Amino acid sequence: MTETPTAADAVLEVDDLVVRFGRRTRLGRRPVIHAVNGVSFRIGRGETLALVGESGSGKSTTARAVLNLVPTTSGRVRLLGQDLAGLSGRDLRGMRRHAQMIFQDPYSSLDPSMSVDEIIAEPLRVHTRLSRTDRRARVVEALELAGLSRRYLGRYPHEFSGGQRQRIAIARALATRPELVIADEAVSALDVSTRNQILNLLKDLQDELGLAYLFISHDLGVVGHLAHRVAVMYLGTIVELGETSQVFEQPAHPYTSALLASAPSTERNRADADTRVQLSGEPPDPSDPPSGCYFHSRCAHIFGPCAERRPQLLDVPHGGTAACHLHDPDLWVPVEAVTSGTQEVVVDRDE
Amino acid sequence: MSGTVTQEGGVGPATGPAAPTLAVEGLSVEFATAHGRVRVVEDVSFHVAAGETVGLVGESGSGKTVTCMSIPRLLPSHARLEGSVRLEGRELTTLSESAMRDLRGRRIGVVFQEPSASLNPAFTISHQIESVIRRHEDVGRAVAHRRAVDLLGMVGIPRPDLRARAYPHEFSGGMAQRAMIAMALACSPSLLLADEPTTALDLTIQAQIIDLFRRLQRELGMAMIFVSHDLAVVGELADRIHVMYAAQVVESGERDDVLGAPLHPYTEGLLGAMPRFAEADGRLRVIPGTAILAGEAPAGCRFAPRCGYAQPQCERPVPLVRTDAREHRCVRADELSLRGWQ
Repeated sequence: MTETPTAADAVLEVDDLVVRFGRRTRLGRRPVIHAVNGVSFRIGRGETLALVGESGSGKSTTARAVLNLVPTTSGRVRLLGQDLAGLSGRDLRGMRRHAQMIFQDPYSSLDPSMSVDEIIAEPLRVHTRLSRTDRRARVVEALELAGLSRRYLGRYPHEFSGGQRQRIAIARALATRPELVIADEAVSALDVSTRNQILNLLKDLQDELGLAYLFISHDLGVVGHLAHRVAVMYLGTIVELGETSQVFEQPAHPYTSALLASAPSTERNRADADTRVQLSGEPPDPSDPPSGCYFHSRCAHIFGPCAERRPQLLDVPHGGTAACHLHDPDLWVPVEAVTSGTQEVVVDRDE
Repeated sequence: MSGTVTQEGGVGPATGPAAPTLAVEGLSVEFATAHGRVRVVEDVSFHVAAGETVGLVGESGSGKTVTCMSIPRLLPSHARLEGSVRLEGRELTTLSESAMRDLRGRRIGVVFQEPSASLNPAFTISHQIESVIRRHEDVGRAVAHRRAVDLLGMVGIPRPDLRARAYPHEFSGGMAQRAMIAMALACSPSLLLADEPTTALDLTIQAQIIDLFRRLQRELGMAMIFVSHDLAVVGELADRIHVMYAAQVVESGERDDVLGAPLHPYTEGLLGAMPRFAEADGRLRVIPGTAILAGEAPAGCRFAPRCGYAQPQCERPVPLVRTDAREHRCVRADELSLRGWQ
């Protein structure tokens, strides 16, 4: 349904973002961690882009860099057309009201000593110059958008269940009327029955307010349901990007296939369990990434250039892009479908 | 499912329903809380045969972990236990603490959720496995070390001879969980308890660990209890599934029966909550309300306040009904035709 948004209607544009951690300390030089390695994407108004990938893939760091919560090494982040890198102090705070975040753990992300109205009003006090009365009205508006009664305003976080706490966190994120909401594993700590209530709420809010979501999750089922487009990350890079249904149905990158095949399933016949595509080994050390394609050390389809050249994102049959030499027409006879979760992949290189 | 390797001092592969490795009968557990005593597990019964995996599934506070940890009596000191737990014919609930300590690690292996929290950061991996072996068996250091290395190889740790000398912080989450599994299996236990062992792991690593459990059980033929909040993960491994809600088992049966044709509305709700069962308008199915804790349970069916099928008769206490290989706690089970995975 969604084309890649053009610069004009993009809420968020990220271009060639690089984040490296590590510095010289008195105890010697710490290794440099290449957390994010040249990531680019756009999110349009009313659109959900999901970042999926495993620990260390750089998805949370990408989200934090978008909000300028970690310093970017290079690259550009533009929120509503405005470059955040050049801003500081009051201007940065002013821009941040357009992008808010919902964190994973509703137990640690709410200050237990603050009442619900103080929690929701805090971003308004920091980012806006609303009067007390206007602030109060906004707090009530946000609370009701998140599906909570205004009776809760004077209560404290410990009086609420996990799902209700996450609603408070959502209300806090909505208070400044942002265009972009970043949800970093926002439903991962919730039980399934509560999880779906929150996901439905996020969907309703998007329909109602035209919110753009940067949705970070390890749960592919949830991503498949909620996200219009998905970016699959591996070791700080986007290896595949496209419409979610297309990417999930005909993954173009071998890592995406392996990730999809790893998802536990109630449907799977027990007899098939041992034959599914299984990704061996673990992601390499981000302070010492492999040469060439970062995935080549675990890839079942490795050939000539993989260990030497880093693949660029190329157009693939599903309409999106994937960073895999298998799709490079200059290197290869075009490959039809690379893999689908369970089927064995045979690439005949001699033809 | 049949085991092929009979372990030293262990129970052979199951040859029928004759003698289960583990028999839990009428297990109840009470915790002392600020609000008085609360039943966190109520009247739970199940058997696990050698070579069989029983899955306990439920949301937080359902009692699944307490049920599992009641077996080796790894519970807070204020917990009070009723009912019977028999391992290889031996009653565990009345066993002395020292006798219990001897069984833990020797006949009962336990794998916890957080491998990094379960390993001692001050000792090497092999040291920790060796000390389990040497606590329970009269073997020397060299023998214990060789066995530790073999175990690490068995659970898929590359270069086990080298990695055995590593400290826990040098292991990734997936490798640490493999080491935990090696430690749990060190003395060839007849019963392996796994409490959310893949919950803290990444997706591809979770798939590796699930496959490891499946292979180990096929090779070693032990009885296994697998606890998870994730029905799909339990579905990957369990032969039989027990669904728990508010301290009670609300439904149990063969894996395909429970997932394919549930008898309790809560099971249907858990299955239907999977995103692929979303409504045509894109809304995810929800179980309304929030899970109640055991202490707040209504007198009748505990799920009734959230159940779309509830009727006045559900306000009376619901007994556990056993039919053939299945159990359920729903008075309307016969008339309802609930939706499973298809």
